[in-house]
Amino acid sequence: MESEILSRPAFAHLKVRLNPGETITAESGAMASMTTTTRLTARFNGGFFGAVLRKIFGGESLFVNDITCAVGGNASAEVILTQPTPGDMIALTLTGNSLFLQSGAYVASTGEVKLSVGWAGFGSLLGGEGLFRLKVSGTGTVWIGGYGAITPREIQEELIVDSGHLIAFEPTIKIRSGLAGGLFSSFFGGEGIVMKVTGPGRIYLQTRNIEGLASWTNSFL
Amino acid sequence: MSTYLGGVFDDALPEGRAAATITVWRHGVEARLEAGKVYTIRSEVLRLERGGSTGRMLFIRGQDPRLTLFSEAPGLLEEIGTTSGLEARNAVATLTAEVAKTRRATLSLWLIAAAVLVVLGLVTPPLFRVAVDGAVGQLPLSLDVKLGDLASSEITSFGPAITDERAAGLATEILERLRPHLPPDIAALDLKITVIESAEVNAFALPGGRMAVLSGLLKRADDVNMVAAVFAHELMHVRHRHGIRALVQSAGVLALVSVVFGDATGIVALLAQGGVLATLTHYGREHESQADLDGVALTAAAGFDPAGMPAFFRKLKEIAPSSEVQEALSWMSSHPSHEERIAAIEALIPSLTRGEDPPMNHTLEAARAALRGE
Repeated sequence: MESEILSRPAFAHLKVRLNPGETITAESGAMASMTTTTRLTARFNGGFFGAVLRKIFGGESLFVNDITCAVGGNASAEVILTQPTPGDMIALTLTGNSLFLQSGAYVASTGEVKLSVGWAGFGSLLGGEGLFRLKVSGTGTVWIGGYGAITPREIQEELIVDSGHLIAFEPTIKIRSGLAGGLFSSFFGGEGIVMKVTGPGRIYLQTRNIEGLASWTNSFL
Repeated sequence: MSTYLGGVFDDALPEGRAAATITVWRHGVEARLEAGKVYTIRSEVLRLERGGSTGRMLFIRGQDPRLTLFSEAPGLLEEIGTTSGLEARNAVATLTAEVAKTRRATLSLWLIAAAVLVVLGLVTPPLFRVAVDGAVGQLPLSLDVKLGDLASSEITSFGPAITDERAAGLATEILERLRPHLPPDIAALDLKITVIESAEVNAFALPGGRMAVLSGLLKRADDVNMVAAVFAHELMHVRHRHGIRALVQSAGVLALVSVVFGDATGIVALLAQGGVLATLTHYGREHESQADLDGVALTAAAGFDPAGMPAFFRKLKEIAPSSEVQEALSWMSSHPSHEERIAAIEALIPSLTRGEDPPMNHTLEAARAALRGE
């Protein structure tokens, strides 16, 4: 399998060349184009119950698609995957470790990466991030997409992140919801509830927040 | 001896971290990377900490600040406690005690939060009622009239108005007999009633005193006392300003604020959104009971037989199964305490003094003949 992220960072999309028998798993609706040498099969995202939980509480898609190169010999298949928001995409390598992804960040993964659902807690719900989140683990590559650019950041102590900017984090990261400042400043300053992220570990932030865009657009409607 | 999946944070590694297999020995905890590199943290310098996204991640540290082992695998902490040296066992005991303490603190917080919610749930409704009463008291009666006017155009959506004097005159005569027994400010309102052609058994009053009676009611009522009972009940909604009260209640805090600042545009916007008539004639159980009791007293004062009200309620129950009636009787049938309401009215009747009952100029029989087109 060869992969390349093109048109970065504003309109990133993933181009994957699959050799015979190879499979890539993609978020439902991520496929933009594929050659006729592929076979697409839908399956539940993180098992049946996990998928249903994520659909209900996380607003995620119920299915993911397995896209396989269905021809033999020297032929190959090509597939282009995109994400719904304009922004960057990055590839992360898993070597037996795992990562938590926030709603909407997952784009695709190689066949050996396991998708499951992790309990995010009531604090996460308060922070507007839902009760469940996607957990990717195993060995392989996972592609995540964000709105705007994606910046990784090593966390040792505590960092305050506005809700909607955190898209992925390692399981060693602790997240609590809290107010940005005092009660007055938090709500009238427009920041409201934020996430307090404690290390050690790495987090991935997107530079734009889709809710911010939505409320900005709303002001013209 | 078991192995546990986990990882290592080490600044010297290319990515700063790597997945590892963790093993517990008597001399310490060992992490082995896939590439073969081995890290060991000796028992006597071992420090343990819980954390991570799920709160179950175990961090194992020693003297080197750049090195941290971590694992979420169940059973690892217990194995450190039983296998490794005395110092490590102490570290496990300290961490276990800390975790238990945090758990107790979290539980206490949840309990306090639950208690606060319960108290808020108990205190808010009465406080809100007091606030609504205060707000309604601030609003002039002229606002009721204005709101009633807004909704009055919807009255004809039930059907055409009946102008035959025998029917319209009867409705007006009953209303005029009730009027002098209303409080002066309500009696002084421009009370008006229209008879509407509709099979529904219903009557309603809008804030400000504009009323409508659907012809189905005149057809189904046994006598004028029953008709007067319904009118009196509806007039009591006007008198107690239940329409505007329902509106302020549904608008909640926003409306209270706008009332305090003397701005009714928010209320009008709310009306426009929810359907004027529906919003203004949707009363709660408490308001219905108040309208029943004060209404039956009003019929008695005006010389009608107060037994007309419970009799009419029983009649409604009897005819309710027919579909055209069911729809109409929302103000009655939506309340499961039908029997309770009848009982409360009947308990009040013996204490009422019935006023003079002068002969009526219009009769129900003549009104019915008019409705039949005779």
